[in-house]
This record gives sequence, C-alpha cells and structure tokens, in this order.
Amino acid sequence: MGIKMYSFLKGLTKALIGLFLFIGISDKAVSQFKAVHTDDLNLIYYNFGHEYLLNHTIRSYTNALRFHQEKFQYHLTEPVTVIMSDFGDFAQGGASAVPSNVILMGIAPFHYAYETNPANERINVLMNHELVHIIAQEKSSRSDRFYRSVFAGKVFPDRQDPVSMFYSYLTVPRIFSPRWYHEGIAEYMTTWMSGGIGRVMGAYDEMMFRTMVRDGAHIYDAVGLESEGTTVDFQVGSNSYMYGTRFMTYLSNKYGPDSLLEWVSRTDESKRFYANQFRNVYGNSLDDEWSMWIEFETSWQQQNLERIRQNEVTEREVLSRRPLGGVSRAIYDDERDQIILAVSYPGEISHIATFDPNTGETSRITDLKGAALYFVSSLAYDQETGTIFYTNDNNGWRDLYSVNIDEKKPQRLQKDLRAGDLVFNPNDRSLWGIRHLNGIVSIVRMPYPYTDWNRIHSMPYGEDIFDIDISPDGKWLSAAIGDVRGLQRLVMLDMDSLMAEVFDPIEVYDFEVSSPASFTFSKDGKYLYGSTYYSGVSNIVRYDVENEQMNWLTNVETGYFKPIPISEDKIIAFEYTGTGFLPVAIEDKPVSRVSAIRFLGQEVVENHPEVIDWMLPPPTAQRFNVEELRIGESDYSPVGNLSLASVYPIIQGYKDYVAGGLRFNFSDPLRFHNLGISLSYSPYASLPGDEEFHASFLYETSSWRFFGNYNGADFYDLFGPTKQSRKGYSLGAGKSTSFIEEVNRSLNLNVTGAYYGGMERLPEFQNIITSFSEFVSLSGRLSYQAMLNSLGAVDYEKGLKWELLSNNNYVEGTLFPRISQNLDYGFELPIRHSSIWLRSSTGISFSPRREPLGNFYFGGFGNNWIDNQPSRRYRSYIAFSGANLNEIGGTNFAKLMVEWALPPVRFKRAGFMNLYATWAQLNLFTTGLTTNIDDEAVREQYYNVGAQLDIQMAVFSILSSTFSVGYASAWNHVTGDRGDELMISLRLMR
Amino acid sequence: MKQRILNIIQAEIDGENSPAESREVKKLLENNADAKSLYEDLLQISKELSSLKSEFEIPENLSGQIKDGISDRSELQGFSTNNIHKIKKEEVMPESNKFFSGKKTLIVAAAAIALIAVLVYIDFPQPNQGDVAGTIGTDVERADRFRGAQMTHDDISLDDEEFQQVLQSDIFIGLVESGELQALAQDESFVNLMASPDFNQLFASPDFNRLIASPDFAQLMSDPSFNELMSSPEFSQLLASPEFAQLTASPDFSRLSASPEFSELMASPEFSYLTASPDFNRLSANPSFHELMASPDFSRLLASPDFNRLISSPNFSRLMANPDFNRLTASPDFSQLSASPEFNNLMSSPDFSNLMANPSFNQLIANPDFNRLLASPDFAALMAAPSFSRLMASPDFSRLSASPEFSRLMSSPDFSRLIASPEFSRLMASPNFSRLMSSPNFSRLLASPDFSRLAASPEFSRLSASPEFNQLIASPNFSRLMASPSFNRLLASPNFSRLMASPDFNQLMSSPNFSRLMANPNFHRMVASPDFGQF
Repeated sequence: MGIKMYSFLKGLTKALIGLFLFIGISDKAVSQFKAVHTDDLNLIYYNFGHEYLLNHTIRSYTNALRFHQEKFQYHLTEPVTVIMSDFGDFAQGGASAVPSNVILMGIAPFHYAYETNPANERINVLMNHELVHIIAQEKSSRSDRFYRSVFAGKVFPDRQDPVSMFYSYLTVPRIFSPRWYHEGIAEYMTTWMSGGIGRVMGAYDEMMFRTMVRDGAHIYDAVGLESEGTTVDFQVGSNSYMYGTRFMTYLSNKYGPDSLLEWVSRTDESKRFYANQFRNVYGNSLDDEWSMWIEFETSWQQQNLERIRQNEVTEREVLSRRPLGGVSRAIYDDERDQIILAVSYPGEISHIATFDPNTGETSRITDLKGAALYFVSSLAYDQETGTIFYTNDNNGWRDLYSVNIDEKKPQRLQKDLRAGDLVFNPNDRSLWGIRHLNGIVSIVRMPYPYTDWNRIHSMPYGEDIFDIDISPDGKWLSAAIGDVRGLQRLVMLDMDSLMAEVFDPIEVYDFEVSSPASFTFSKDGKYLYGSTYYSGVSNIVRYDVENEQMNWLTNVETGYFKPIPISEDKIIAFEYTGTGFLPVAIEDKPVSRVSAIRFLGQEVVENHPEVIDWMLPPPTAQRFNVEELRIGESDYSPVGNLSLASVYPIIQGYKDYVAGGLRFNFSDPLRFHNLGISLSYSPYASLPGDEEFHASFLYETSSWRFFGNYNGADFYDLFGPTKQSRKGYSLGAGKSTSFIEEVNRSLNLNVTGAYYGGMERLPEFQNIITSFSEFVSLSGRLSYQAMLNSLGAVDYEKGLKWELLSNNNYVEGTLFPRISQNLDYGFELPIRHSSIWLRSSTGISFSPRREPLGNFYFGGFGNNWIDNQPSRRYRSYIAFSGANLNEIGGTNFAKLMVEWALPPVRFKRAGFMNLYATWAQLNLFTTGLTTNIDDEAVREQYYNVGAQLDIQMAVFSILSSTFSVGYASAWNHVTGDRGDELMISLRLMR
Repeated sequence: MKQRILNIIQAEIDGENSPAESREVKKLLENNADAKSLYEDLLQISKELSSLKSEFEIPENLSGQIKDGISDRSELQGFSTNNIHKIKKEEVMPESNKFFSGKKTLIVAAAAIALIAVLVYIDFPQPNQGDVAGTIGTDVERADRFRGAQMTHDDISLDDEEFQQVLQSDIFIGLVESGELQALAQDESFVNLMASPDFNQLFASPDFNRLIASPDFAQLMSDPSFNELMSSPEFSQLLASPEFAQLTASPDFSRLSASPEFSELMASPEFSYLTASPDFNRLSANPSFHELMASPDFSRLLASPDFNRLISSPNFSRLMANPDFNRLTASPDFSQLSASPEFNNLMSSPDFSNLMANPSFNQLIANPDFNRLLASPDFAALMAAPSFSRLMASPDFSRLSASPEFSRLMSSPDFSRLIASPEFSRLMASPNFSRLMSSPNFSRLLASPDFSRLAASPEFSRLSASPEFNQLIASPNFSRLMASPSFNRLLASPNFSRLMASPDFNQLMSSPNFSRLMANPNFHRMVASPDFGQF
C-alpha cells in the first residue's frame, strides 16, 4: 500500500494544485457577479441594469429583517446572500437556509392573472416573504446549534452519502416540512406585513374553496395535498400555497396569530418535527385540526354561497363537456365561428386550440412549449390571414411565435422577446405587447413581419401595465395599470399619442383594491368587457365607452373571467371550476344586484386586529441610511468564497467490505462551486493492504467537473449486485457545453477525459476484467432532447431524444474506439398520461473482438437494492433486463425497445406525515438485441419481455425516494437459453 | 370660492368624484390654501359625525356618505381605503374616542348638526351621478377587504432610474447587441473620456441636449452622406492619425476653440448663412478646392511662422504691385470682377481701407510663401473655378467677411497661433487629411442640405459657443478618443453606420432621457467597467 499510496497522494496533490490554478483562472469567467455588503446581507447582482434597485433592496431587506427578528425572536447566524436576477419575465423568489442562507429574487413584475399575485411593491413583497422561509428553516434550538458545531455547519442532504439526511435533520430539522407549511406561513406573514395585500385576502383562494364546497369536491388532507393535490389539477403546485395559507389563516382566526409564530419558531422548548410541534402548540394532532379546518371551511363557504344567492344568480349555458383547464386570453373569429385560445389541461400537452362554441369541440393547432400556470400563453390573432401569435417559454424569457390556423406550422418570430399581453392592431397589422426587462414594464410595438420590436413607452419602476386591447378602429388602447400601492385602474390611451411617445392615460374606472381583468373591446368599439373581484367574486362587467358607465352583467357563485362578446346579446366567458375553466354563454344584459362575499382574512382582522400592527412602515431613505448600512462592495468570486460547509462521518462499501470515514464538503454560498472529499478505511485482514484506504474527490462548477479516486468506494455498494467501487486510481476532468438551452429542448455536449491506473476491472463494466492495468479514456456524449409532458405527468410523454456517444480507450500505444447512438421517440396515447416509446440503439467498436476494452456489454436491469441513480435504468442502452450484468458482449450491436408507460396512479393518502407514497406507475417493455452483426459465426440475438413498477414516496416531506420492482425474462434466440430477473430497488432522494 | 370648486370638494369627501375630478381636487388642495382649509373643515366634521353615530340619530344615507368620506380621506392620506367592520372602536381608535367624550362631544355634535342644517338649508349642490365618469349602473356590494396604509412611489428611493428609459429602448439594446459598443467600452481612451468631468459637463449642458434634440441633428444623423463619411476609411484614417490627435491636443487648438471670438463666429448668423449657402457647398465640393487644400504649398504656407507676419506686413503692398499680380488684375475675369458693384462696394468700404493700411497685411503680400501660393496652379485653378466666384459673389460670404465676429477671429492671437502651430501644419500636410478633404463622401456631406441646416441651426451655434463644448474639444481625453483605434474601428464599422443612419438612433439621441443618461457619472462608470460586455 505504502509506495503506491504515497505516489497517488503526491500525484493527487499536484493535480489539485493544477486544478485550483485552473479554477482560479476560470473563476474570472463568473467575476461579473458583484456584491454589496451590509452586516446582515450580501446582495449579489450581475447586471448594471439592476443597480437602480440595489439600495432599495437593501432598505426593504433591512426593514423586513428587523420585523422578523422582533416577531420571531430571531438572530441571524450569518448574512443572507440575496441574488438579484432577471431570469424570468415574471417575479419569482426562492430561499434556502442549507448550507447557507440564500434568497433568489427575480425583479420582474408579478403576473396578475386572476389576482393570484400581490400587486403592491414587489421587492418588499419578496423580502417579506423569502425571509420568512429563511427563518422557518434556519431558526435553531440549542441542540440544533450543538449539531451544527459538531458537523461544522448545516448539513445539506447529499444522495451520494444518504446518512447526510440524518445529519441534516439534526442540524436543520424544519427543512423537513412540507411545502404547504413553508408557503402557508410565508404568505400569511407577507399579507399582514403588506397591510392586507396577499393571499390571506385573496379572492382567488376564496373562489377556489367556495367552488370546491359548492361542487362537493374533495378537499385534501395534509398528506393527500402533497401526494396528489399538488399534481393532478390544473393549479398544481399553487395548491401548496392556497391550502397552506388557508390553513394558517384558519388557525390564526381560531387561536390567534401568535400561535402560528409559536408553531413555526424553532426554540429550545420546541419539537424538532413540525407536526410534533403542532401538537405541542395546539394540543391537537395536525391531522385532527386539519379535519376541523375542512369542516370550518365547508361551513364558511356555504355561508358565502348563501350571500351570493340572496340575489338572482346569473343563468348560463355550458358550452363544453368538460373544463378546458388553464386558459389564455380567448379571441373570437366571427367568420370561422371559432374561439382561439391556449389551453393547459392535466394529462394533455398544453397547446393552442380552436374551440367551437356550437359543438363544444376543441381542435389542436400546435403544442406549446413552456406553458404558464395561470395565463398559459399570451395570444393575439389576425383574423384576416388566420395568423395566431403566441408566446412560448412563458416561465422564462418569452419567445414570440406565430402559426396559421389552417396550416398549423409554428414559426418562431423572435427569441427571448420577453413580451406578452399580445394584441393585434388590424389597422396597420402591427402587433403590440408588454415587455419586461430589468424590472421595468414597456409597451412595445412589432410591425409586420414581427421580427423586430420598437419600444413605445416605458413605465416608471413599480407601475405595471397589463391586459391591453386595441379598439377595432385602432384609435384606443385599453389597459390595466397598477402601482406600488397595489391600486389598479382601467385606462384608455390614444394610439396616435402613444405613437408620438405621449403617454397620457385616461382613467376609465378605479377598481381600488380589485384588479380590472382582461378588458376587451366589443366589435363596434362601444363597450369594454372584462371582469373584476369588486364584490369579492369575479363577475363580468361592461363599460359603456360613450356614456362612461360601468354595468355588472353577472352575479355568479364561482367566478367568471375573460369575456368575449360574440353577438349583440351574447357573451362567452370562462367559469372557474376545480378542474379548470369552463366556457359558458351568458346574456349581455346588466343585472340589478350583485352580492358580496366575506373574506376569511377580513374575519382575522376583525377578530385579531393586532395583525394591523404587523404592517411594515415603508423602507424610506429617511428611515434607512444606506450609506451607513453598506460596509463594502466587491466582486463575487466562487473560489474566493469557497469554505467548509460541513464535515460528517460516512459509511461506504468497497467490493464486499464496509468502510468508514469522513466526508468534507466545501462550497460557496451560491453553490456555484462545490468540492466534496471522501476519505474512508476498510480494516479487514482479508483485504490486500493497498486496498484498505479509499479516497475520492469531486470538484464541480457549472461547466467543469474534476474527479479523482483511489480505490473508490461507494455507499450503494453496501447493497445489491451492482458495484461502483473499483480497485486502482483515476484522475479526470469533464466539460459540459450547452449549444441549445430552451424550454423542453436542449443540445448538450459532455466530454470527459481520465487516466486510470492499477485497475483490475473496467470502470464501466464491473464484471469485465481488464487486460491492461493502466489506460487513458476519452469519452464524449452529444445529446439532443425535445420532449414534452403535461400537467400532472410523472415522466416525459412525447418527443424525441437522440444521443451520440463515443468511448475511446488508449492503452500502450493502441486506441480502442467505440461509437454508439441512441434514438428515442415517444407519442401520447388517448389515455391520460399514457404513452408509447420506441427506444433504439446501435453501436460499433473499431477494435479486435478479443479485447475487453473494445467491446460493448449488456445485461440486467442495472439497479441496486439501494440506489441513487435513475430508477428506470432498463432504458439504458447497456441494460438488458433478464440477462446477467455484462453477460452479452459484442463489438457492434443493434437494439430496439418498445415501451408502454401506463397511466400513473396518484394516492390521496397512503402513509403518514413523515412517510407516504405519492404515485405509482407501471411500465411494460420488450426488447430485441443483436450483437456482432458483421460475423454470423459469433452473432447473438436476444429478446426480453419485462415490467417495472415504480412507487414514489416522500420521506420527511421533502426527500423523494422511489421504490421499484421489476421482472423480466430474456431469451437467447440462437441457443434458446432463457434467463429471468427480479429487481427490487429503493432509489434514495429521487 | 367658485360654486363648482365647493361642489367637487364636497363630492371628494363623499367619494363621488370621478378620477379626473379627484385629481383636480388634489391639485387644488396643494395650491389653494382656502380650498384646503375648507376641505379639512368638512372632513373633520364628517369624522366627528361618524364618531357620534351611536349618540345621535343621523339620516341613514348621510351616515353612509360620511363613512365613505372617511375612507376616501384615508386613501388620500395613504391610509386604509376600506372599513374594518366589527372592529371594536376602543381597540382601533382609542385616541379618537378619548377626544370625543363628555361635554366636548356634545359641543362638537351640536356644531356639526348646525352645520348640516345650514348645508341642507342652502341646498348644497351634489354632483349628478350621471355626469360622473365611470359610474356604476348596477347595485353592487363591495366586499370588505382590509387594506392598510400602502407605501407610495415617493417612499421608494431608486438610484439613476432614468437609465432605464434608455436601457429599455430597442435602439440601445440593438447598439449593445451589435458588439460595437462593447468594443468601444473596452477602449481606454473612451473610458477616460467617459470619466472626464468635461464630458459630463457637456452632456449635462442644456445646449447639448437641445442640439441633439433638434430635428436638424436628427436629419444629419440620418443623412446617407454623413453616414458614408462616417464609414469611409479616409475619415477613420484621419481620426486615427497622430497629426489629428496632436492638433486637437495642442494648447493652441484648445485656446482657439475656447476663445470668445471663435464662439462668436460660430454663433454668428453670418457663419450660418455661409455654411448654409449653396455656393459654399458647391465650393467645398469642388475638386480644385480639395487639391488646394491638399497641396504641400498650402500646408507650408499655413505652417509658416511668417504667415501671420506676412498678412500684416507692408510687403503686402509690394505684392500688390507685383507684375504677376498686375497680370491678374488685367485679366478679363478681374475686369468683370472690378466692374461689379460688389467689388466696388468692397473697395470703397472702410474695412477694406483699413485692411490695406494695415502693416501686417502688407507683410503678407510681400511674403515669398504667399507669392508662391498665388503663383501655384492650384490657386489659379481655384480662382478660376466658377464655384469660387459664386462664393465670393454671394451675399452670405459678404455678410460673413463683413461681420465683426469674423474680423475678431481673424485678428485674434489664438487663431494666429493655431494657424502657425506645427500641429496644424502637420495636419494640413498629412495625406490622410488630404484624402479626407478630397473624398467624395466628405464633399457630399458638406454639400448636403442637412449639414447646412445643422450648421445653420441656432442650437449648433449655441453648442459650439458653449464653454462646455470648448472644454471638451480642448480636453486631452477627447484627443485620445479621436486617436484611438477602437473608436475609429467603431466609426468605420458598418454597424455603426447603420446605427447612425437609423431613425431610431436619432430618436434615442434626441430623447431627454438619453442626455440625462449620458450626463450621469454612474453611466460612465458602467461603460468603463469590464462588465459592460456582459450587459
């Protein structure tokens, strides 16, 4: 062991020095990140265009932090790193306290579809909200702090060493709580910190639960919400927010707001697990209280329904057999008598469709890529040419597309246009939209042929303009304008003035705290139709442009949206249901009376007026002197900020032996660079001396990875037949390059080079003994993927994937090249979430058949009993279920698999608070494989038939794991031999 | 106070104003102390009445109006716009309850009732619901949704938000995406220039902003000739030449451009007329003129230290007596000239007499260099050119030469020093300058009506007369910029030409936001930073 070990460590040291020198140079590549520091904050940004918000962010952050510190009795243990970004066209936020306190803040405006987001000043909202997440995750008890000192930090769960999960639970137990818990408390606090603007006072949330009660729909319990409730309906993940906030609001109304703080705060006296702490505070189990809430909610909503029914409820004609899911703006083509819109329904790929109001049938025009949750896509229509304009990548930087309604061939007009709210001006064939950049909203115009855009007007920060429409005569543009106070008004703008860069909105109507939504002109331009939650219920309203009068056209129980006048006396609108929006026809006639509902949040204010005092004073420059708060500025360097994040004991497997050791984790706060070093030892007399010590490291950046192993050991080798551990040493580097990175489409190249020494088995094939102990390997993978899935899917459901792989081993002056390719193609079946996939692979080696390095090897499912790699490894080109691992070999091959993915089953409740199953899916497959095609004498042909059942489970709410059972039979077509294989595997941490 | 004002103030408190009327009231309250006082009185009364609701019977509709009034008042002051029903008043407003206790309450209540009676008696007019924009035609219940005091835009302090007006522009984004701006941003000279106080001052000056906002400037920017010139290699070479840099960096040049005489000349209408005249344009487009300008003789002449002395020497008189000169004057052309009324007017003018009597002028006439110039074929060709004749005959030229500003310039020591400086000579002698002067592009530019209009525009005059402009021209940074290869590559790049030719760019240049941006030191810091490429 001694000399080889010494030479390895010497080589490793040299390699690491070289590596850090290289990284030091490449680190400059990310030096565009700047940092502004206060005692409590590291504010990172990368764009000069965002600098105007720096000081405002510092003030807003400090304002929120001081409030939280007092409310939660919280003391920061480290500054929070806030990354200011503009990666998407709409505001977004995220927070994590492990291993460091980090907040991601997207500065774009919120989208206001259905009033699902607050309309007040967004930096304050984000700071208020995200800091709650930090505190709810990070606030510690004495024992938490003890374990943090033992493990040198907050331990991030790492699937490479699953014991880290346990350490993580000891150091930051509250991250092991469901999403509804974290979002619920954050939304609750944010609402009151914003003076009543937020989800607690949300009309959409009232509508959702009111509709569920009216329709007798299932209201999920706490477990069912996470396992099924956040995946099956068209609102998916938002249900965590809505249920969580509602439950918190109910609790605060019943027990007082301070009870929530006690539940969420981690103190010396509190329980580690969130559900146990619930019982500690409320005296009830979480399950029992949740049931009581459902009873309360049912009663509350029945009362609201009664209030609505005190006045005549508007009659409507249902136009479709089922709701359409999420819908975009809808446009009526009176010549074709069709409605054009974008739809997103669970189980169907989101798409642009036409809807026939007479038959209720929808017809697909083209698929959408990157549909948004609520507004799906922005849509405009040129009726004369039948051109539909729409946006893709609606959760990122939006692209502009067009498709002809008859030809159905989509065409990308502008990539990363970053604009939506599209509307077509028939008078000059221009397209208008609203663009978001650097947190600023601009009206833009795109003249024919729509490959370029011109800015017409940019709003000041905090003022948003949305839901625009253009009058049929092209003289007026209608819009909703919101400001930092959260007030929104309906305005009209003279188009000629706009073109002359004069922005002078004429206020049509001030809806105060309600949003004017989706206002659109009638064909004669005399009216504007839209909807508003003015009464707490979204009703359809009509504004008489000439007489300046607003009339309510509906008094409904759920909520109506996106009205389209299709004749003088008929309007089509979209009625909210629990499974999406349902097209209905109503009369274009004012109603006499419209009822208001009660908001649960209002009940809280009235019963617990102390929440009024939770409102933050504005973070003015007078209150916060930024010059005093700022203590420095610097470039942000991942290497410069690399520090020890945690150290903990590990257990690993080496061949059939157990090894114990330590793992060291280093990372920068933003985790741009991560270094993990594992050292372990196997104290067995039967193990040769030079194999007792094990070491490995992996240094990863966004595009580079460097790795080294010495007698590499692996935790998962403790379980099952598949072994990753290998005798010998290796040192290598890999580089990833992305050529196409779009939503649902990518083209990537990975190249890895490594030196292997002292090997006794091939790194890729555990059962193949090498004929050489040392060699150099260079491999590459070019991968193109264009795949789609629908809402509620557990896997991709259609699309194409192609890979080109090359593995080249260089041994003692001889090169052993291999090349292969995989092509997968899948298509949807009429059954929801079910599809057929054809997976093919071919490969050829340019080496003598006798050389192990020059062959391909196939066999087995490939899963270990306890595993950390993908569960469905039977799809891998080197897998062949039913045969033994690496049993089948050859210098060339062709393989074809047909796979049927059956619809997944979602569980409403299968388990407990800390362990429950979320879904199960069965996949059936059959494969044909031929090797050594070029030589009939050694040619082999195999077939197999198999099935795999995957059950996904949640452990401690956040750790998804997959339990898989597979069975396959394989036949040798030449010899007739048959093999059977049963595979059982638990994949930890997804 | 007008009845209408009274009406809208009352309607404001009652929450019955249209948005436009509300804005009018708010403006009124800001500017009119009497109106503000009335408003506050009425508001206070409404508030007191509301508090007394439980103690006195008040008509139901009036109570509602006042309650709404409180909401609206709250909105005005940034407080809750909604009522909080069922809140125990002693919890929410304990102070106000303390105020309204005992006798004080009764006194205030009595006063309030009396006032209501008065208002009712005089039939205080209420706004007609039908006359108000945005009215509701349906009986709609508004849901109670608590909303606390919200921050306003005034509570938010942003830094250099005006940048965004430019950064959002498609033009600016196109400029960035072209890559040229990035290349420029990496040029040290440009960075220094952007960081210089002179540059800041220039861009901050109202004159400059007026200039770039003028239609003339926009027209020039969009003129194809100008763009051709900008993209011509000759122009680039000139700008890149060390001679040009030396010239612009020389103290003489600085002094000249900073001198009041130069400013006055540039600002004079005569100069404008001249540059705007077709004759001048024709002259400048004439190849002969270019040949002259490019000739070594001319350069040498201008470079000669004797030139000034020549102009002012008595020898000039002798020159006038020279046979060659006589031959010239005897030529038919000269005859025609001398017979012309303009010539006669000149000859009889006191200015001419003064010139002739000036010793310096005489020295010039006697100078051998000057004589060589006069004898050169280039000069002869120039003199023979019809364009030159037309120029000399033009009233514009006459007005210019007759103007005191021109005289002051010509006689200013600064001008003399410039003309006499070696840098100027080197520039004049440099092949680059010659190529520029002789390039058709340059001619087309000078001949373009747009250029004329620009030169004739008062804004241009004001700009050229502004001290900031002169400081800029005199700054070494400007010289370095002009001499930097990156800048020249930028100017020579097709993208830059396209940009300069695009109407959008001109829109950008002429927007006040752009000027503000360019004048902002932070913008310069940004452009100077290596991160600008990332942006």
